[in-house]
Amino acid sequence: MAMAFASIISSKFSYSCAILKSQTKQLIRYSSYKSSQFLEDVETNRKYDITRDPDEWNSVERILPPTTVPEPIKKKSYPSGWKPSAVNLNHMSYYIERTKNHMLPVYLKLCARGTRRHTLVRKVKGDIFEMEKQLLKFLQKESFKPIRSQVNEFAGYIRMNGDFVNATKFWLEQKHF
Amino acid sequence: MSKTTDKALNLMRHLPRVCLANIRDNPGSGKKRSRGRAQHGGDYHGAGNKGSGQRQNFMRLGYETGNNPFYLRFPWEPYYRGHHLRRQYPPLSMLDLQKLIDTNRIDTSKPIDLVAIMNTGLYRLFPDQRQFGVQLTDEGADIFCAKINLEVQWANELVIAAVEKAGGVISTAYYDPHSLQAMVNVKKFFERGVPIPRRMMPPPDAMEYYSDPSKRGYLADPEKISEERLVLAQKFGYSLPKIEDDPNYEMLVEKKDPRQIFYGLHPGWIVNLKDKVILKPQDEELLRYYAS
Amino acid sequence: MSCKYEKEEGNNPKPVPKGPENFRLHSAASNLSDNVKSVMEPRTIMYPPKYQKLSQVWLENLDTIDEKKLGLLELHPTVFATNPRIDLIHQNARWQTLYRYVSYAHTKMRFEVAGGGRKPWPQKGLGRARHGSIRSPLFKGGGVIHGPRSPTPHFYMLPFYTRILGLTSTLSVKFAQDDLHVVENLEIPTEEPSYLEELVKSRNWGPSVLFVNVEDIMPRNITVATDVFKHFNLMPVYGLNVYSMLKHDTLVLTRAAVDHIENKIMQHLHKNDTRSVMAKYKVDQA
Repeated sequence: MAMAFASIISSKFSYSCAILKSQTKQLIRYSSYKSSQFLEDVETNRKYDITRDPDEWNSVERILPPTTVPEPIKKKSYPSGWKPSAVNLNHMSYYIERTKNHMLPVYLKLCARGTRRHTLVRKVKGDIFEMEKQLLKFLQKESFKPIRSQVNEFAGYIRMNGDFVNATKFWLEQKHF
Repeated sequence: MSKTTDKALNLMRHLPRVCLANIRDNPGSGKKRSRGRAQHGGDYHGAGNKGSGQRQNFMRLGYETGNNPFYLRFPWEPYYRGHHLRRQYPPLSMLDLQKLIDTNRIDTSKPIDLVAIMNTGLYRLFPDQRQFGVQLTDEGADIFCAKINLEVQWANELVIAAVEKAGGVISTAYYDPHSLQAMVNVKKFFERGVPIPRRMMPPPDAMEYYSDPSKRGYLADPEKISEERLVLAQKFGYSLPKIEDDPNYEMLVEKKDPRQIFYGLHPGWIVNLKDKVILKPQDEELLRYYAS
Repeated sequence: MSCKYEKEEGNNPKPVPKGPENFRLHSAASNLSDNVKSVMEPRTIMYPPKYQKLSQVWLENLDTIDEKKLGLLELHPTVFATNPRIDLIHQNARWQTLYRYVSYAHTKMRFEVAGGGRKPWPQKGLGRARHGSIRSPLFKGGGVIHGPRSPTPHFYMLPFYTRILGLTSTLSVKFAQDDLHVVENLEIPTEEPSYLEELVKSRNWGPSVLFVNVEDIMPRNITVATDVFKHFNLMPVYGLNVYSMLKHDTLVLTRAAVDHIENKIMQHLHKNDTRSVMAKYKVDQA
């Protein structure tokens, strides 16, 4: 009797195990990505010819972008109106450094939803107050009101109230910066 | 050295050592908790009490308090039909192009295409926003004097005349969005390690433009293009420089295949930047695909 | 702790600063005397400054306890003598402590505090204030409103060029305060810790020293010698950061490390494509 009971239990147990096994194998939970199969490498037997031809590599390098901004080449004239900085400015007591894109660092700053316009001259080295004096003397001719300006000596910038970007650039180009 | 930098560094020499315990941000650079203004100490944010001022429920833009609003009076504007599906060509002026050439951002000794313009880092293109390449606009056409082999996606008559008057060659070429995506950032594309795609033919509505010799389309007959060059020179009244006698003749006539994206590289090739090798497909099937 | 004022001034190779009144722009490397030129070590400088003097630093040795000057090195002023922006240094140091900091301070809200489901007393009739739960934030032992919740990450990204300028500012400050030394390499003759201790003491290098090399596999002797000291640390150049430079009193760079730092910073300052580094930082970017 006891033997028979045990055999019933064991058979039931093995049956339930089989159900569990089959369940775990077929368990698909569509709401989760975890039940999906891992992607196996698809075997490709495409043949590729590996070349190290320097001529062909040249055409690759030709289309790759440069890592740093290239230096401008000296030319007789620049039709676009861009001018390089003068070769020697040792006589000046101040100096405006070009940006890394070789442009003059003069910007128009708009604030208060475009109603307030400021001209910002950055990267001023040397005697910034002397430069401010000379620049304002030049710009004052175009303005009725006295131009308000602010100098930050440590950061090396001059900020003026009003849009004088083109006039300032013109003045700086006259001075060969 | 800058005078102020000099001053500041000299000051540093006489000050105690800068360390984690004695640095601070500029005074006033932090964000204040509230605006701290007027009666309510900033907790009303200047909006006052009650009503549309406080609740910010202003009338919607264009609402005319009960009238039939102006923007709804004319409900049908057929000239805008499908404008969101049209191809866009973001502009680049000839003045900008000349400035790029003057500052050595673009090398004129090689043919200039979209890749060369994108590599300057000063022009932006988003192929996924239906932008299909450069439109060269005529601002600065009067000062333009670079002898170049140029390939853009859209150009008007004046631009074509300005380039050809300077002794250069211009063509307009179509690139499908997949090819453009490879061209806007070449390095990133090569790093993906996928084959260079083949360029698709223009869609039917662009076919006419890109096979028109007067637009210098890349699918037009070359003989008709040279005829059109003469016609344009007569129309604008300049003598056409002979590119056959030019020392850079080879460069000026270099052209891409209509299936090709990059100069010197064929579709289907894979470029490995790390090992500096190029993988070329050998399979018949692939060769047939990329040749078609 | 700082022994700045006892330092010998003779070690300092920096030129006497000019007064502001006779300030003029200088051409680089124009007014060097001949005997200075003879000790100049050859060095190529990327993007040499047009109107600034190059900074100069002595090349020192580590193979004897007594200091020997092996030559003079020229440094780019944009990297080693730029504006000492203390605010940027502070922002970098703050960022370095905060981006990895996660606050685990935690308070319970009213639904998390145990109990409080029952209405404590009837709404009306008792003459007491009306309440629905003894865990309401008005009650002692109740939930906390707007309290700290765990985990709170404090991660943020500092803008790329703030990080670059933080490095140049810190290097400039270290150089100006005579806390930056350049050596040929990190080879020392013995692995005895006492040798290095003696060397640092005799040269007044302050208690804590950061040695920076280009390769991350350091010479054996200095690795063993610095192992017992917590205030002598070795660092490869790719790990150089503002916080560590500030934490150590003295920064010792090898000559190759100086080249590496300078080239990398100058390349970043003249980068063609800055959009990739200046784009908004995305946490899940590949």
